[in-house]
Amino acid sequence: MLDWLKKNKITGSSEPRQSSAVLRVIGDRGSGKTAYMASLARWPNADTASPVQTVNPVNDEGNELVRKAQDLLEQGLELEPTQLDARASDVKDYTLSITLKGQFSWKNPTASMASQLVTLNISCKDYAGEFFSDLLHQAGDFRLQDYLEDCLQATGIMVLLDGSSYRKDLEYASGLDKFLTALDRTDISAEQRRIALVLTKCEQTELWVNRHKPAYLASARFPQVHRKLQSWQQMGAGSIDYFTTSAFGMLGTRFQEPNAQRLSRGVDGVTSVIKDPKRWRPFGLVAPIYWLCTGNRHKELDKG
Amino acid sequence: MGNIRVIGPRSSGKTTYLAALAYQPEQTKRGGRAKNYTIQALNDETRELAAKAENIIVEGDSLEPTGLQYRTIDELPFYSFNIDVNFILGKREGINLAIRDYPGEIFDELELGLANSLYQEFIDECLMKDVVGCLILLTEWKKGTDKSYSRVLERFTELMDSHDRANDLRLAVAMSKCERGELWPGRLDPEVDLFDVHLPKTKATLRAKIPAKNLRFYAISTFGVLRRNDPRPNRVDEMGTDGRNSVLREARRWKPYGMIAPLYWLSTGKRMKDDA
Repeated sequence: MLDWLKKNKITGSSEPRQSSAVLRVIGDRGSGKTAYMASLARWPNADTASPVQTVNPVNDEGNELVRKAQDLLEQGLELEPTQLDARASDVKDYTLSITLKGQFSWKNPTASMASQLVTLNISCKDYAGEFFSDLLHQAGDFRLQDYLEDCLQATGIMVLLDGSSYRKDLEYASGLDKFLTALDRTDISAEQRRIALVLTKCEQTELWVNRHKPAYLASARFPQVHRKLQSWQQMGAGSIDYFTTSAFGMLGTRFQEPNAQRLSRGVDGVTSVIKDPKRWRPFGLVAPIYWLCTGNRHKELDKG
Repeated sequence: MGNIRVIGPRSSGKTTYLAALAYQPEQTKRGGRAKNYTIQALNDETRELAAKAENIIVEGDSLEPTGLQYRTIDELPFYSFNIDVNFILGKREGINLAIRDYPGEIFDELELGLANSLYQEFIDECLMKDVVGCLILLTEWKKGTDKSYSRVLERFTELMDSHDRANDLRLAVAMSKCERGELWPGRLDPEVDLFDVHLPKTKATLRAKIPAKNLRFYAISTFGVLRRNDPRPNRVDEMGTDGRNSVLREARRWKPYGMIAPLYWLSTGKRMKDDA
């Protein structure tokens, strides 16, 4: 009896809980994949109230992301488009470790009292946007097949869509259709996957007003994509959830406005640079990763 | 919270209305009358409009019609406002709005059928599922207008239906420029005293097609009248280089009527006092 108590005590509090995931980030050119990753790695002006304690790059590629964020984003410059590598294995594999503060939970009150930490270890490849357009326009390409094989290693996939590129809904839906079919065909292990549909650039006024309703926003602005993903889920191939994010975030607390200077707006969405790098605080970046790692939504992370 | 679109025929006062909204914060700072709401502009485009508003409303600078300068929908600005409404007993509610006004040509073009892809783009964007409601500004009642408005709005309801918005898009239909003497007394019950009287066909068309819970009628006056007991319009029309421009007659006494109530209803589905 005493032994049992001791054992439980040790496992209950000392070691931080670990969750790992291998992720792939896909999305159209300019959907903000690299900005997402770089902002996440840099994690600027962390809010003390945020459940995220730290974000640390683990490998060289991770450090390179931080440099990108410092050298470009913080200078108010645009990121260069990521070049499509010949082979998927050449794509940089960013490894980050995200530490979350413990959450109080009624299920496990003693453990949460001891401010138990949760660590999310992710390794993540961000494919060039061409990958996505290749999906749309050419099938059976060797390179495409290679990337798809690479995708199979992932336990979670993040699909990034620029929330203002709603006019490409149909195009995206057919791209995703091809992607999911190809993935299914390539995969023999029939593993369950999670796909997070992440709407980016939600600092934009028309998206920000609905940031608290990601599933609604996705279904309203990308009805075809939404339908496609819902039916994929219903077929039992995996699970899907929706998120709103902004790599640049907002300025102010009571009257919030976008911390972004818009350069252009068009069918492909918007391009912008950071307006006030000193007050740069991204929005919602960790929420999809937490879900991809654990399968649960994190209420506090969803708030920002 | 929500996305709102403002549509209406040319010169129905859409941009002046939005400019006045953006200009409000300035006005209250100058010791204007205490109101039961405060408005805050939330992005650069709105602040630019506020800066222009002073010239438009007080100085009477000509306002270029929205539309002529836009070649694509993407060039059209998004205005962003935070409106804090104060209720009795100290209750407060903040709503965050993203508002876009469309060129009057879009409205006029509806009557003829959508000719080009640009108009199609406007309609698709207007009727997207994340738009909670439309503020429709109407302004004329001369002979034949009622018929033409009702044709346009009939067409609009058909488009709502084909975009699967027939049952979930709120329409606030407002008579604008209600400081006009013939309209001012009708502001208290706009559905009966303005729409039944001046635009009966238009009203009937909308009532027939739109679920009652999603349709309300309003009276708006961006300029307002001089005083409680001096209901002359607080507006003079000056002849500018390109026709008539309206300006405030006594800027100090500026008290717009009914600007907030339709927005509040569109975004929350709840009513507030109509004069706000």
